[in-house]
Amino acid sequence: MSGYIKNVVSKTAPHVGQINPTTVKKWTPILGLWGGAALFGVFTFTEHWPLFQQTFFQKIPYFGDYWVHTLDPEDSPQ
Amino acid sequence: MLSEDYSTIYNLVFKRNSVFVGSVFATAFAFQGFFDYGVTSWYEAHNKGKLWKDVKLKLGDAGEDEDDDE
Repeated sequence: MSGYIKNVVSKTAPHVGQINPTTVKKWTPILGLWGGAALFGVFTFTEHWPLFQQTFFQKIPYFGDYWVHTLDPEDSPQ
Repeated sequence: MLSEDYSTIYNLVFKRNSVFVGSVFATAFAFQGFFDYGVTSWYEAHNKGKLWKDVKLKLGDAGEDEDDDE
């Protein structure tokens, strides 16, 4: 008597809603690259924002000095 | 040779829209800095001697005497 299939045995893969290891594996590089693109988009539109200049852009090696604005104290309106 | 170069550019940049959009933003970020630096350098070279930073040095030499006259 060879074995025969009595009924379908199925397992449910671990998941959170629709998200399971397969979808995570598929979407990680896609969303990662879009995240990088979004980061450059944020950089483009905040290039003249002093907070971003002081926090990020001034720390770029070699080119960072472009965002360092030095003003002699006698020329400052304050 | 030329078509190979196009294939390389296609595979590196245009193949994935996320990479394409990202490289557009990255280029825009770099370009606005370089363009501003270039235009400022040209402007300051073209107007050398008339800019405040040049005039200030001249005033620094003669400025104190003028103050005494008043």
